[in-house]
Amino acid sequence: MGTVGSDVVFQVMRYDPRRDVEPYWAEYDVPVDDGDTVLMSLMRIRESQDGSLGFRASCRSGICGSDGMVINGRSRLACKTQVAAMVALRGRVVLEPLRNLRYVKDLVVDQTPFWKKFRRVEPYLMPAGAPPAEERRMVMPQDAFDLLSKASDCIFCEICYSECPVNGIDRGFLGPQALIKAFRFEFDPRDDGAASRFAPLSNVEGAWRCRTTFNCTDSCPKGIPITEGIQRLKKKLAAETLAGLTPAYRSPTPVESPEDTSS
Amino acid sequence: MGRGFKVRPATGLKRHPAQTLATYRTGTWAWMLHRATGLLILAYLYFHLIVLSSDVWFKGSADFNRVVGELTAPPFILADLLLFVLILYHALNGIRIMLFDLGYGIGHQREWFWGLMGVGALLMVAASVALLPLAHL
Amino acid sequence: MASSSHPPASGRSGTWPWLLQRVSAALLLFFVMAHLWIEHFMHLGARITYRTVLERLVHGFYVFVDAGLLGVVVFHGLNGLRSVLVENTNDPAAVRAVTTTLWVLGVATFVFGMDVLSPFLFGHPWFRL
Repeated sequence: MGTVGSDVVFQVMRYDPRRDVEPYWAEYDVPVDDGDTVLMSLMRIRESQDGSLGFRASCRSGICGSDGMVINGRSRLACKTQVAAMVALRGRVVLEPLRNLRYVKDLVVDQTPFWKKFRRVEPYLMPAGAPPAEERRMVMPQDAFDLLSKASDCIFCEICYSECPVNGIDRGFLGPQALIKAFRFEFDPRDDGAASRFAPLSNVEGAWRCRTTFNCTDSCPKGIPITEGIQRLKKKLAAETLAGLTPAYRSPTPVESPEDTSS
Repeated sequence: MGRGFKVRPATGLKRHPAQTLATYRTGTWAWMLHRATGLLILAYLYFHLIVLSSDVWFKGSADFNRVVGELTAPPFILADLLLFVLILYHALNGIRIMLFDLGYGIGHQREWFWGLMGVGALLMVAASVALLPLAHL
Repeated sequence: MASSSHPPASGRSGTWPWLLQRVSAALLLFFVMAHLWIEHFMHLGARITYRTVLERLVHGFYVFVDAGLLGVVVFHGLNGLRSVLVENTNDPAAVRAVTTTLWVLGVATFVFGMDVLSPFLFGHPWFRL
């Protein structure tokens, strides 16, 4: 396998809703060189065998998050997946579109629900107080940076969304990606958006739907400990709910002004 | 189109069952089993209450003693052990879930799963040794 | 500026079912272990009879274990069933219907279970069927 010039069978789910009644498998014999990724082979198929094959890709180096697809049963980035490794697994490469999202064509899915849920958690910094009069640095303490830097690595590839079984059961579940982004801002000491994010996150289809199956953490191509972030989020939401029972409720989020954080 | 590649005609997408199972991981199995054991234990709870309520329905201690005596027959002891498996799994995996909720062990979820299953196996052996000799014929 | 002095009304919050499921689970660890120990291992080999149960339930602690286990296990079981039943919906009417039904079932189950215990506690059953 993987030797220069040898052919590998690519079994690809094809579906064009304008033409096909239902999806079907297509098989391509693709010459594969050592070190070829699945994405390189897909491009080779499109260039030399079948120009009608639909898939998304952009940067080819695991940064843009465009080419998530189900490869040999699991959601992976085609550009980070070696053909040889997949052949070793099953003798051939089986490609399907991502799960839990509507098929558009071949390996392309409709990402609309994913982005809508991402927006629902207000994934941006909501600083405390009025905007600074002059341009000032808002320095993040080192421990907060260490906690949040992995969560900031998300490339929106939708692989966690595709692998999460709860997304498969409940189309309304926010999903791992929206939750880990919410974690990234909720635990940022400079952020004061807890009150605004509380409703979407503590909703029945928010953080509580997570069943800690760890599929997101296992499959994330950037190695983000997603489940851990969601668990921290749950703890914070539970604490906020309990604190909400007391009359003298104060925000559990420490509100630090930029002057407090000396670097 | 149709040059240099084979296209199998529209046969629908039949996946091999093994292909579907291969997509589940330890955490997903743990969750599905947790749910299955939980529902079975809930069903058992109703069975348990209805059996014990026969002392109300039929009135009197003699009936109670007869029913409870019948429950020490070997098939029921074996059923008891099976029930113990369900309860042990649900309890031990429940401990695992609550540890994660408290923030412990999240990075070692597989180790926690198999470690607790090992504890469960030991407890199961202990319970079998204690209970099996009690089966009355 | 304390702009987040109050979280908004939680509305369709899922916090309480989740939190109470954990609390009841922790209680069950005690109750179920106590129950299994009392019934199966404490007097290993001794047969359970009407009389032994009657004598045991004179003590308040055993009544507490039995009644507490009944209440907590019914809550935990039906709350778990609820989370399975409403897992793919956020429709308030559907969720409310399921929740109400399960509360009625739960209270009925608790009363039924106490009825099973009642001959031992009060010398006569609550209800005659």
